[in-house]
Amino acid sequence: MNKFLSGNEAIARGAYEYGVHFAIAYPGTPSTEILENIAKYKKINSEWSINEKVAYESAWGASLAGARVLVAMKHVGLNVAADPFVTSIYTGVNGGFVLVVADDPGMWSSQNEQDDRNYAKFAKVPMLEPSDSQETKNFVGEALRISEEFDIPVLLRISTRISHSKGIVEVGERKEFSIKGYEKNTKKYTMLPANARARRLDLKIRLERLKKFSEKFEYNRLEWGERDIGIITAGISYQYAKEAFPEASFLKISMTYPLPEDKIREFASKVKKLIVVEELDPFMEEQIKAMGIQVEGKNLISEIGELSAEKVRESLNGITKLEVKSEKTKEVEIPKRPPILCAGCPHRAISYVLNRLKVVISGDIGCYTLGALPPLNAMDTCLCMGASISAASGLSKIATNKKVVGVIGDSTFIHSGITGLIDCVYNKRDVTLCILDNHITAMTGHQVNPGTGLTLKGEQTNILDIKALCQAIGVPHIKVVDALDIKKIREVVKEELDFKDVSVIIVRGNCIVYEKKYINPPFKVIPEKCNECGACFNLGCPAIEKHNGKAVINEVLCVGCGLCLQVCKFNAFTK
Amino acid sequence: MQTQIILAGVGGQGILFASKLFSELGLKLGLNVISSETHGMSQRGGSVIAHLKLGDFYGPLIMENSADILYSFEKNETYKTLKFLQKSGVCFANTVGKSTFDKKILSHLKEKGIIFKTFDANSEALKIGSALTTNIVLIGYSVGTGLIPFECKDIKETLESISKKKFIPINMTAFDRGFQLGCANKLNSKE
Repeated sequence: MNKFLSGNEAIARGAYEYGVHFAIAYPGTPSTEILENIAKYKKINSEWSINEKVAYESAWGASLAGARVLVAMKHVGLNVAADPFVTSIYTGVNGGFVLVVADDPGMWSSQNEQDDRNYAKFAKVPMLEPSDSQETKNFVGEALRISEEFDIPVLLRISTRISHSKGIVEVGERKEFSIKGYEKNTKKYTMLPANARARRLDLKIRLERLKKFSEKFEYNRLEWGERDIGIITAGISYQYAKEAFPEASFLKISMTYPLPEDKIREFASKVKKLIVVEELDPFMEEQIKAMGIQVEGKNLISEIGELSAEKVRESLNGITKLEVKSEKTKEVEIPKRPPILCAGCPHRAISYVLNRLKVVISGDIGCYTLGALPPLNAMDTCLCMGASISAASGLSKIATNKKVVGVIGDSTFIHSGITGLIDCVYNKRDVTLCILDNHITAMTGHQVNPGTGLTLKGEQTNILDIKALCQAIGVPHIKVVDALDIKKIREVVKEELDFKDVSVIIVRGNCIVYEKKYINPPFKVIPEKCNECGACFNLGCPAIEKHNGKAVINEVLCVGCGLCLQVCKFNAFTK
Repeated sequence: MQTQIILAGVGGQGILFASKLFSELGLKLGLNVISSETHGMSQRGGSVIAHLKLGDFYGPLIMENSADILYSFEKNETYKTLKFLQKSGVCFANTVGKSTFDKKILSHLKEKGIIFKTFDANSEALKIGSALTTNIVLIGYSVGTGLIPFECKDIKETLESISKKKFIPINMTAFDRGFQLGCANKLNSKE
């Protein structure tokens, strides 16, 4: 039977068909839908974790217990999970272990575009890269098989374009694998130096065997065409190169670590000119050069941003016989369409207040990061998950003439903000931390988290009380305010800025997109009362439009949150 | 048969539903189908562009100067995506009321041999009682003009099969309304 599946759906399907018992992840674009789709299969235990490190360790534990496991994350998520990841390659596995990592070339929804293939070489872990949805599904099975045969976790590396493109996939039934059960093996699983040294040597043997396997791996495929040009490529880049130069010869590599060296040598010897087409870093190119093979790649194709068939064609123009005439369509200046906080968003009022207080705002990752854009301008920094608190800590220690405020959402706080806060309390930092609590992970599409009280499967669970947590770790001042009450927020923030130790302000409000029951009838503007002062435009609300200087409510977008009413001095807004 | 289609608009305009309609149509016709959607932050007012390739292709993205059909639901998104159309391609641009397009662009398109059809699908959708059917009205219109390589019957059957039961009547009405106006346009163009 055939189904039309995205890469992420194909991974979920693969997890189902190849007998995965346990799947876990922390949401992050472009990987989020993997677990959302796995959750639809009753036979797989699936969970949202609180961060990637915890997810990875949990998956490792489940593998030790003998289950087939899958853990998924976005590229930067592997930075968080890097600690257990690297050492788990030493210990190896019991049940098959597949780590799915989704890179984001071009940074569609990320803070950097690191090429996580480098992790494969760094951690010495076998890596597979599928080129379409069908391969993506198949490779889940291949990864589990390799993992069990070679006693090692396997990295399945995809990218945004694989995750979010759809193609036809042949689907099958689930194969059941029994859970092997846990067996104590201290020398294998306890990484004391003496044991780790032995496992390091064992890893070398496993890698040598994997290299031989890569030579025979059926998905590392030669496709002969004209011999003037030989293209070595993998992943989505294969599709781009194939579309740009269908007549060329190809070595399509699916196991990109360890590389099939003999196969590469054979291919290189039979073509006139050898080119590596790969997105981002010269990962394969450098390794092929180290084999002493002459090859071109990044001297022609940019290592920055997402590739496309056009880019491949233009980059190799002149190298091939095919002349490419680029014919540009005329362009018109069009207004940019930056994403903005939704009308009724609980992050708007706090951003509005902070912008006016001339404080240093140490930001974090979530919807509220959009508050960095004008007119709210409510963010000075944004680095990575959890950095708001720790960076505020360092800023306040040195920039003593400044007031420093940290801004973080509930999910990000739980992900990696708690430890930073304990550090602030311990070191008696003069910081004010705003936790914007909408008890949902909104930015990635409303995933539940420990503050929601629901699991990925929709079951009731224990609820994390953020206020009680702050009390327990010894935060001296804790305040809770309503996210839609500008006056109260201003009052509390000013008070806490004057307090010379750690204060936490929990700003509570519901995500209006997730919880539609909080939507109220739209407001109206009384035109005679509008003084054209422009105060309401400083809210950056998409529902307030400017027509000939006056404010006009867009009734389709307005959800009646009432912030405009609070900032208008002329009472021009009414229910 | 090879057909490449771009669907462009902003969040909430039903781009993803329209994309599903054409991909299901391709599957029904026994074609290979690849699609890709870029919708990073569409819910927050961003743009949504869907690439659809029906027939045998490799990559999911459509190259510039190669799409056969462009459906655009919003003016600026139309400007942004016109570059994808090939010579003799056809664009169906939804207009809200009487919005006008840049004259220089229009003459450039004419030079390239691109057929540019503007149509106020929005108003027609409102007339039948749901702005949400704008996407279907525009697609119905395109079928009516006879400028796209699909049979009316196939598209209608696909539309019915992918619509939620309670929306079937209004979706079919929307399609028929667009189709009639498309047919009328075809006749006028001939005269």
